[in-house]
Amino acid sequence: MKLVCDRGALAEALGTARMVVTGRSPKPVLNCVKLVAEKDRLVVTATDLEIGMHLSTSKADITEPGTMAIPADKLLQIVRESTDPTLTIESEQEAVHIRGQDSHFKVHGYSPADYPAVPAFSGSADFVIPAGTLGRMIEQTYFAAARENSRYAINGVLFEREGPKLAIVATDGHRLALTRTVLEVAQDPGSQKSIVPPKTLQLVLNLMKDPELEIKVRIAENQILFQLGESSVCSTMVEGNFPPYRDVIPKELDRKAHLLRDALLSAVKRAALLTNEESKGVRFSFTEEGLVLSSRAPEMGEAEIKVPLSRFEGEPIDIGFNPGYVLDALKAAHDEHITIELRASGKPGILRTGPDFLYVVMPVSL
Amino acid sequence: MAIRILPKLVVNQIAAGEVVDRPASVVKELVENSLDAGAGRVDVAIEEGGRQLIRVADDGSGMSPDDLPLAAEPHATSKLESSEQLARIATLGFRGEAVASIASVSRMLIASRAVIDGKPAAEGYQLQVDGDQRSDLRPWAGNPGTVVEVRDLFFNTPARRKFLRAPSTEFGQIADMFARLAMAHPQVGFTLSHNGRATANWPRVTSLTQRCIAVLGEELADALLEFEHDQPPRLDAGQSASGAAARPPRVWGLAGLPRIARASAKFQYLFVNGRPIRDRGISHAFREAYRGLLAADRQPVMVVMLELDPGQVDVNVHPTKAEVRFRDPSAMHGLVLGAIRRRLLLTDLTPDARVGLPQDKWENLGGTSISAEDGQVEGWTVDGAGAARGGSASGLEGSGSPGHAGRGEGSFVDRFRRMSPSQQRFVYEDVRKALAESGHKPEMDDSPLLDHAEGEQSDETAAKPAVESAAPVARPVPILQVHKSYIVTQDEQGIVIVDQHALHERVMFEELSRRVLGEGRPLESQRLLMPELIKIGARRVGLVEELSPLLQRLGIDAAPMGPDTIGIHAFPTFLFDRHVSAEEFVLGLLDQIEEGRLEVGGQTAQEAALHRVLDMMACKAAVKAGDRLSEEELAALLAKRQEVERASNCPHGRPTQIRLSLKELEKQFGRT
Ligand SMILES: Nc1ncnc2c1ncn2[C@@H]1O[C@H](COP(=O)(O)OP(=O)(O)OP(=O)(O)O)[C@@H](O)[C@H]1O
Ligand SMILES: [Mg+2]
Repeated sequence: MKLVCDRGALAEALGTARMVVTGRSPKPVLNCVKLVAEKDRLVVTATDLEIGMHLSTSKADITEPGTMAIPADKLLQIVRESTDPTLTIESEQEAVHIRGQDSHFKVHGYSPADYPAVPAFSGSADFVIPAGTLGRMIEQTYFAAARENSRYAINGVLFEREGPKLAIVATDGHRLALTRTVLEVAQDPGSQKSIVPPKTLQLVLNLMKDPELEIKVRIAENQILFQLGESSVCSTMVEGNFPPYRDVIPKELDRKAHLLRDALLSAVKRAALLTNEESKGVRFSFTEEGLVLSSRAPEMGEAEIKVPLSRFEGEPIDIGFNPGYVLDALKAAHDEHITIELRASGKPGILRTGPDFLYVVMPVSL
Repeated sequence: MAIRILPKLVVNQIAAGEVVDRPASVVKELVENSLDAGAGRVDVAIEEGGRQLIRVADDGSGMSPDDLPLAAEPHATSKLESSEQLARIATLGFRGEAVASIASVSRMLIASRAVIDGKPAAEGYQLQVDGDQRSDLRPWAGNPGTVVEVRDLFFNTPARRKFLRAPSTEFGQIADMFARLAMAHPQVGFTLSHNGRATANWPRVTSLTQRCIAVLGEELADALLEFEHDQPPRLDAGQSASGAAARPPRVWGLAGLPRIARASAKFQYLFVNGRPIRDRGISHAFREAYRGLLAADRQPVMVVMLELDPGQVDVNVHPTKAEVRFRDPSAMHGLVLGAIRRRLLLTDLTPDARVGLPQDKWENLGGTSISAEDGQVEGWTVDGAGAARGGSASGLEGSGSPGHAGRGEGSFVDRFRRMSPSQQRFVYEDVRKALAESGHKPEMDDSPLLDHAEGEQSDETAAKPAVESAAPVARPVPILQVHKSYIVTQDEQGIVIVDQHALHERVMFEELSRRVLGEGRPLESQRLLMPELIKIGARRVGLVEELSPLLQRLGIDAAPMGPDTIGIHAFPTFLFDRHVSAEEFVLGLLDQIEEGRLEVGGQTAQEAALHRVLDMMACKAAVKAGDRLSEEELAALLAKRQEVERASNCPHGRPTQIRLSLKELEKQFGRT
């Protein structure tokens, strides 16, 4: 293997690869990335056995195709610290030489034959979605996924497609984020479900550069694959069942407040300043006059912040929420106008923006 | 069978059965008589545990030749005239029964020379009473005051005599009773001897403290906290039984530091108006006051003297006057509890750590410390007051009381004891290293001893010294985490080592109970989108229903969802934050109830259960040994020590921190 590669492009690929190859595996080869020099491009392959990816760049001049497994962190450090615009990479038995203008590194590698196989995107896509749309949908949901395992597979994000309709859902049992879109290209008329690890989605987000790029998605038996231009990500799915999320979306909420996202965002942030570990809820008091947020931290003090409402329908209501959950939703809301729908203090509330995003949040009894 | 009036002797013997059940109660009655007679000193001589001789001599008012024979008559007393007075008894005796009872079961000599208007009478007299045989009054050439000699106790009631224990056991009881009486009367000098050997000599002193320390032992002096409380007059209790205004109750006492707590309640002394008594309610207040400062199997050392208006307490409820009845028991409970608790809160309860401590007196007290018993040489131990003074330098001598080994002292000592030898070396080595490190490098560095928060390690630390030198003032107190379990820092007095779990547990516990018990509000709880289902078995489903009010106060909404399953609909926010699983928590709770460690039902049980569950919560939610804490977290945790009450001990009573004093360091490094 011998090639000259653009340093910036390589650093970027290796940076992304490092999100998967953490360097903590007891098996040395799993702390490596695999470099594959093909005719006209260099592919960096990385995997932690659950998530795998092929990151491809054409900013490489291949003189001798070949392949090699190299410790990811060392390679990344060398590439990052170098100053040359390009680097020459050449393999010699179980080592690679990395040469810059004034530098020469020899790094011991591993046989690429020992590197686990990482499936590439093959066959036709189940659906195609613009990077801009998928990116928004991931950002609006993946934060709400549970960190810990539970009876349900909620430590993953649900992709649910019925014909051209795609819904992405995540919940941690306290709140639920749901976002929808109608796909322009969906080859398959049937329906599909997949629970995707949030980390996979984070990687996909990371690889999205061009919002116009059409991302191909394919859901296989127990894997989901994303094709982003020359690169691809494949991931095992979270096993188990996603809870019947439609059942927890409350209906017939008779109080409805219309307000501006940024006003609420700033108010909630400020109210959260006077909360603490054992008293973290913020009281939301809705009346026709407006919304008042109040919080209280024993031995610290109290806060009260007024938020104007553009409109309020229904009887006044007081309800407590974990400010963190509300902030998460507001940050994910891609629209300036939001609505909050409520029924009673002990019942869930809904925050919506636009036609696509819906967020159910359970109250806190203060 | 014909009914007949019992002979006087038998009547008295029956009474004696109640009043004097053993030599110690004879001593109690006689000494009380001496105290009632205004004695300035009381000398007690015992032979053969009291079965041979009990002799009590005083320099009190004595008895006139007219009164002397009456003393041994039943129901003859100089202390009470009317039944109204019975409601306001201010003397220790009041029944006129003791002397007669004792005389009926022994051979008694009463000799007395009266003091009239401050002048000793010209002559004294004596009287011998053996069962129902009574001598004539004969002159007696003794000092002013009274001498009572009781010989051959129970000679005419063989059944009782047979039940007397070994002389040493009986004398032990006598000594204990004697000590109790002496504690409450510092203005009286007391001596006690057994078989001619003096065992106690407590000259008159001016304060209760002096006397109590003389009795309890000088070595405890700095482990006892004195407290005093005058209660302002209360409106509702303003009238005593006799109609006169009741004087407000006063409490005085000495509270033992947690480190000298004992395995039994033997070292708790309670007095009401100078009378030693037992009282379940007040004993409970003792435990309560130390709740969270002591392990479950420990009892505080405690002296409490209550001064009450005689109308507020009925002393005529128990044959040996060992118990009384308060008019307002819960007020007394509150008074004592409050007084002790306030005193404890004022105190820094951080035990001192000492290295290679010579030990002597500590062992005598029933405490434990590291000793050669288990082959350990180097060790840390808690500074048991007296041990600091004197003692050999070796610290290696066996304790001589192996019986104490393994009994939970609830202290660092015990945890240390339970560690394997290598662990012990570790702890010791750690602290030593930490000390050396902190001496010249208070900032975190790359020493393997120190744990860095992963990742962010390098840059921040590297940048630090520059920042530091730019701002030479207000150097932060060094804080470092060792073995992800202990926090080492300093205070004015030395080096403080904190058990991170124990301290965090205490902090959480205080914050939770402030809300639940203090403000009476349920814990803040997060409702769930879908109930979390927990299979607990059909048998326990009913239990959960019963528990429901308790759970509600804790912010847990649990309801049956089928024959063997419950659903959690809401769970405390802070437990979520601390990643405590609802399932694990609820199952743990049910286990505790089934094992009888947690009682529900009943008002007091509710409170106790609430405490217990808050404690469980705090324990589950607290950082564990082995949790790496960031610098900010460490600092925040240490800062909490100032904010919460009883930060010195975890809710189970183990200390949260120990201190290695500069003095001790200087000694250990040979700098003195
Ligand atoms: N040491 C003493 N000095 C002076 N008087 C005494 C002494 N011991 C007894 N007496 C007198 O003898 C009386 C009877 O004593 P006794 O102990 O039998 O009864 P009490 O003390 O009046 O009541 P109680 O039975 O409750 O002790 C006392 O009331 C007291 O007058
Ligand atoms: Mg008496």
